[in-house]
Amino acid sequence: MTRRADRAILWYELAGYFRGSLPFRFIPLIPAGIFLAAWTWRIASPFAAVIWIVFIGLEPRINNMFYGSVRELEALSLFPSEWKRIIIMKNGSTALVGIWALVLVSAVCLYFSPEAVTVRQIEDAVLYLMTICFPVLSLGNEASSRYPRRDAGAFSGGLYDPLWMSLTLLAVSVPYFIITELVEIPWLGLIYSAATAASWYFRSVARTAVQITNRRNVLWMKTGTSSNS
Amino acid sequence: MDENGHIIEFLNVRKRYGDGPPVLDGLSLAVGPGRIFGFIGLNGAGKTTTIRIMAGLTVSDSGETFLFGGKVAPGSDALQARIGYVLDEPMYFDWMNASEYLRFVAGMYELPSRVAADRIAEILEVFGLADTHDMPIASFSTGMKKKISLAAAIIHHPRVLVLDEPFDGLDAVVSHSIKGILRQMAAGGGTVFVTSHALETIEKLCDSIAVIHKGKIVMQCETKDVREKAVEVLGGSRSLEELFVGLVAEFPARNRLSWL
Repeated sequence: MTRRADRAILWYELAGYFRGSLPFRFIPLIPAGIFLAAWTWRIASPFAAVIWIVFIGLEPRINNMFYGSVRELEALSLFPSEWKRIIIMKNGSTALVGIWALVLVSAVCLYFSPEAVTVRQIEDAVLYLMTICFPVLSLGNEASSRYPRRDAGAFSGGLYDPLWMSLTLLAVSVPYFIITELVEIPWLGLIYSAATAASWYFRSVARTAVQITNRRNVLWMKTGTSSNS
Repeated sequence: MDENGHIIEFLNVRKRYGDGPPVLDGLSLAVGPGRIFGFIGLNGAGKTTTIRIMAGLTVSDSGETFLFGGKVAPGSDALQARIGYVLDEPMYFDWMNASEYLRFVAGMYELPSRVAADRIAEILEVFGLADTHDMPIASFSTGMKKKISLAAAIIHHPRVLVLDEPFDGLDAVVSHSIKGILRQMAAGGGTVFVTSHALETIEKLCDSIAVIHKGKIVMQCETKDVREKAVEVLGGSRSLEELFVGLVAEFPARNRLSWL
């Protein structure tokens, strides 16, 4: 059973996201997705464009997850909640927002795709997402706790952060292509996905929680605004 | 509480930011239960750093800090559950409205929904925030923001309440209601640790006082003994303000202009 604190964090994350400016990141991205889906359909699944758009749109939630609002990291640390649980709830809420974004971006982009989407393409997209989501979250946890950015806006950060997310996506896609194109045993993807989920839970979440606790002096200085003594 | 009956205790705490001068230079002080403790000092004297170390937001370079007899260390969540903080800079999420924010805070402290709902309704009414409805906290006045910060700090009924400059920018009515709540908390056995520049308020509100200067405690006494201390330090019976100026002023504290 989830604790009240877990539900409070989940609500904070979801309500904060949808009431903030971050969903507006998808407005300029969706036309790009329509173009890409229409352009790449001969060489790749139209879901490739959809998934890329979704992860670029969610980049601040993934790679800068403790800056949903100013002084969030400090404010959360005043509560008697374990960082491990906060990180799990934050990652979980990102996954929920990701599902919303996938539905939204798919509906718009695929509507303009020249070819009807097949069941096989949907299956492949689901398997692909399963293999990349935990590695992306794990790398995001590392980035959020090691290099928090002092910005919370929808369009801050310029092109560097989307570019970094694109490179991350390319890197974490390699195992999927090995499994499906070289080894050609798709069910191995399920095992790989389970392994990445275990690594996320036992390694990334725990490590990020320790990182936040041990590096609080540095992190607070980077993300906080306090200068008083 | 430790073996000496202290709820809050700092032992020889030192803190320096970078290569700058020490912000806390061997700070030692202790506060017992059921007290309102006033912590005063000039800007930059080390008050906020002291509070941040207590809250676990800043780690001291050396020395030890104890709350309820337990050492404050990274991840000391059980201790933090018994404390409420109103820090100098806002720690709330200002896109929420008052009732959403208090519900969120109550959830973080694992308060049962029914208890939380009752307390939120009462707090909003007592603090005069019941009519704010869907107004986001961002649109609140300074006084309303102070009140919502205090409301969030006490909703879980903490045994220690730490307030950094709670009276800054408040009108007399809001100050009065906050003082009443602090007195009620101390009367119930809680401990209140408060910093303020409003020395008159501190003198009237607090049971005991400490003056911090350049990271060191230069005076600690019961409020009722302030006049006696003034005689000791200044050679005459004076107010807390005059005693404070006498203790910390590094240049002749002039209060007249030659051309006026």
